[in-house]
Amino acid sequence: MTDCPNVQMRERLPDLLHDALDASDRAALEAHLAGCADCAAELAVLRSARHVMSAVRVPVLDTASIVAALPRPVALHLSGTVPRRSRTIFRIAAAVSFIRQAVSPWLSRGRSSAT
Amino acid sequence: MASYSTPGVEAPDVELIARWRAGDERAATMLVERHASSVARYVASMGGRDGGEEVVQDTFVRAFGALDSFRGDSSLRTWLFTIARRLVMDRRRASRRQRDTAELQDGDLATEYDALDGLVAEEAHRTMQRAIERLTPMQREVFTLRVNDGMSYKEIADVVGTTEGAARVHYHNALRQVKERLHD
Repeated sequence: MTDCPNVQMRERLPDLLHDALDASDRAALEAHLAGCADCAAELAVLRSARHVMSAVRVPVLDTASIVAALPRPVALHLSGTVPRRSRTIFRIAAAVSFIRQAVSPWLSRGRSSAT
Repeated sequence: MASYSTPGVEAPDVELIARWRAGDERAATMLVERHASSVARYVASMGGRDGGEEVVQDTFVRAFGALDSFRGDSSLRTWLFTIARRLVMDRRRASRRQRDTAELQDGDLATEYDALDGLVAEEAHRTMQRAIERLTPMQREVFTLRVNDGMSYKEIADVVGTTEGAARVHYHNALRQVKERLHD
């Protein structure tokens, strides 16, 4: 089996198998194949090779299990927490409460002195 | 959730990734269903039949966990194959195999000729199988990615970690050897 000297056409043969050529390239290659026994033979070899390789046993996949194992997208992580604006309000409220408790004894002493 | 794809036309990977990042978990299901079979076939072609399902799952878990680093320079399929390849290689090292060659075992090939009476066809099938098995690991991998998966030399180079030029050389060396062995 000899190789066709037209490298460009030979390089396109696997793409023809996968229907990955645009219309003009496909037409040019098919026209070439009609007159080139070497490329026609090479295409037959590639087709046979693909048939053998695609016959490799693959495990039965449980896509639902795969999806269940995936990490959750960041947006869902954020939606599961308290929104930032609410967090800020809570912090301010907590600070006010702390300050009130801290100064409460002083306020009580002040009132007692006044009375 | 707003849909940006044309009805009846599958959304491209880039759009599904964006939708998943925005919180659409259905997009993850679509991506897995779209690519899982080809990843599994690639893993099996590298001799990763044992634990293949686990490798496929690990591939997607790692891919989705690192989607922020996926820049889209290559296709998602190329990226998945790259991750899967690394996982298969890690497993080989972990199992302390002496040889780098991953041999296809007889049980790896589902010969449909069990149901056909074509003895000639079966012999041709096995001759091609042996020709591919006798390639070097790199030649077999490049040949498989080009012929079985239809990848470009650029994509192949990204997956196996070489250059486009080297991928082209490996492919043609593999093809030449396959042709020679078919005529032995």
